[in-house]
Amino acid sequence: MNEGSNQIFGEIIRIDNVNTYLVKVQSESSFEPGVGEFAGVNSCDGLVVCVIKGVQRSVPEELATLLSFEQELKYLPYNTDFKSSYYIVFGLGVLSDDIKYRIRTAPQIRSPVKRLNKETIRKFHLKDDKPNISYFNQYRETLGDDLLLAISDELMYMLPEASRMLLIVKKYLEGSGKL
Amino acid sequence: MTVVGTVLTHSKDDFTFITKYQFKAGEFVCYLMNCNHILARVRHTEPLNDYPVEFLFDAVIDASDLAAFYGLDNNDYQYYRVSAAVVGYFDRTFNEFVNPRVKPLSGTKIELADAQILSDVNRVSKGEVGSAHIGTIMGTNSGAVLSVREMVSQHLSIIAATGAGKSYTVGVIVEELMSKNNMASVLIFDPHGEYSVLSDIQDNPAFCGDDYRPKVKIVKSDQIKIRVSDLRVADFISIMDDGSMTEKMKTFFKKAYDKLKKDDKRKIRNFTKNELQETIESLRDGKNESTIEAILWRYKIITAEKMFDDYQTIPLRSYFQPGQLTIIDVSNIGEWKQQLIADILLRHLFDARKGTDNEYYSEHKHPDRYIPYPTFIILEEAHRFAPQAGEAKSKNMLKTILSEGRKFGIGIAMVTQRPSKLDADSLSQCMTQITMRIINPSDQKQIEQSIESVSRDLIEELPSLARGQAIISGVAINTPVTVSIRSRCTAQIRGQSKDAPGIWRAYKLEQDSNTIVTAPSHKLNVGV
Repeated sequence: MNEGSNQIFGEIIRIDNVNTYLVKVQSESSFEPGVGEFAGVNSCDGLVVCVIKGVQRSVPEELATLLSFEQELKYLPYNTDFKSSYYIVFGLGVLSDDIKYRIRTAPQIRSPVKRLNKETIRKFHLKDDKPNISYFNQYRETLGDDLLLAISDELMYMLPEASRMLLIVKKYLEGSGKL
Repeated sequence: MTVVGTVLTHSKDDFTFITKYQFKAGEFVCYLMNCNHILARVRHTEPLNDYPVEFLFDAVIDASDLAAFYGLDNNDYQYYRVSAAVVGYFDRTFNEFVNPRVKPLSGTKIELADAQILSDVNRVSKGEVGSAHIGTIMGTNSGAVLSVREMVSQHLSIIAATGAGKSYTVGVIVEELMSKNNMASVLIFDPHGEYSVLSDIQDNPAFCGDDYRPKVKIVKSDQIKIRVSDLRVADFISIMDDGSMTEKMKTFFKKAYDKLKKDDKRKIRNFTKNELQETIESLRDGKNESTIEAILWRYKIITAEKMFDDYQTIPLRSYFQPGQLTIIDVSNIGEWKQQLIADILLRHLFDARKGTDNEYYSEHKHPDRYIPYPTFIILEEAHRFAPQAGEAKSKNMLKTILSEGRKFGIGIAMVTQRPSKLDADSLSQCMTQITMRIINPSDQKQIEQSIESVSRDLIEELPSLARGQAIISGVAINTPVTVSIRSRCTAQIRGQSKDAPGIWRAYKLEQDSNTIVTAPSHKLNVGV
């Protein structure tokens, strides 16, 4: 966990939509982010708080044959770059003067992606000084319950005052409304 | 009009709308269709959304706090899905509600039914001649007003579990009947002696008009006389037979009775106790001594009852007068006597009203049988007089009046707390129903089977009605309605539950304070 400054660990190399970006992490990077961990990238609206949604290291050979070399470099960089890691990062909201859980402007290509310190993560999850994870409900379908459970585990540490509520939310996600 | 919701969907029987208002079953809403305001009755209300069940597990954390934390909008949990049944629009030509037979479209705005629309529920207006204002339509300030004309001519049932306000409601009905708007001729058959407080009516200015002041007559059981010649042979036998009367004895008694009756017709007068006794004795032929003696022994026991008289009988004209309430207090006599009195009273009244209407009786020739106005009888504990199972002396006469009484202006109000014990045919003849809280399932079933105008969803409401709330249905009102019964002008009727601990304590404390503490008779050892 990063307690101190917001440390840069990669850069955006592709933007699928205002929420979803592909981040390249150089092989020499000392930081290997896990799914469910938080990251941040600046946009013109403020700091886009993101979560690591997935990692891609596979070589989908069946696709490689369909793309030219130039296109591969652009769309499937991991096909040709076997040293770097490629992370799918999902933007949860924008942290500026206040918190907005809707992103209207995507960050730029090559924008540096940084780890977020505990203070920033807490700030993003406090609304009117009360713990808030309302993006869970908003993006549940997109992120999937497994990722939300991973985020919950992260938040248990970041938001200890909300641990009791997080346990209930975890139970709810695990049950998926079976009760 | 205040918009309170929006139609969501509909089914064959009803439609649903979404609202933030907490509508109770039986309340009214309306919507606009083809320039008509369509009245609809709320059937049931349920929350539109439920919190995830996991959010409810923690005893400390509020579900609403969890919802806000997780990103659910708590506002979404403030809505209700209300199911309502279409009553219809009021057609002034036919003076009744007409069902449009089309359900409202999804998105139709639902409005609160205002006083103007709710007034269509009533057949008559408050204060009008022939009106009985008995309360307010539940959840509103609009009055519930019954048509007295329909109520008293086509019979009334008042059904309620004990403690639900049955006697109180009867009191309200009587107050309305005795008001200057109605000046009714009412008789209460009172097996518990609880209605004598209604004598307040004659001294209460609220019931008096310019030249009108109601009269209340209370008749105690020792004042009631039954002329022996008014008893039928079946009456005699049912009273005399304690299970030991043989067929032979019954046959001899019938022979004596018939012989005397034939003779009585010729003489055009009523027979006396002694005459019947002599006729029985005259049947002795030397072989039937023991049988005749056994009949006489039984006959003498019943004729020794003070109630049976040679000449006096129930004075109908004295009991039934417009603007008079007669309370027959039969609280201290047995059930068979109550049934007998009811039977003879009803039989005489039916005969009198039928004879008067058909002009057999005139004021000059038959002053005791001439009753040229409708009458209304309230039968408390009606299941005693027309039981579902078993027989009662009054049952047949009561059923006759319930089926034919309307033509001759005899109205009956059947008041009971056990409708399942009341004869179903009799109950079904009561065309106006005031039904209060009923918990017993068999009683509910009887109501459902006997009262056509009350729908299933209203029956389901019966156990949850509060004290003083009633569902009123039938011909005296345009559509079934849930009503909060109004406050009484007269004193509370006895019959309320006693405050036993309070009475015990008061009695004991008073007794103790009156006890003089005296010195003990034995010598005390004071250690000297």
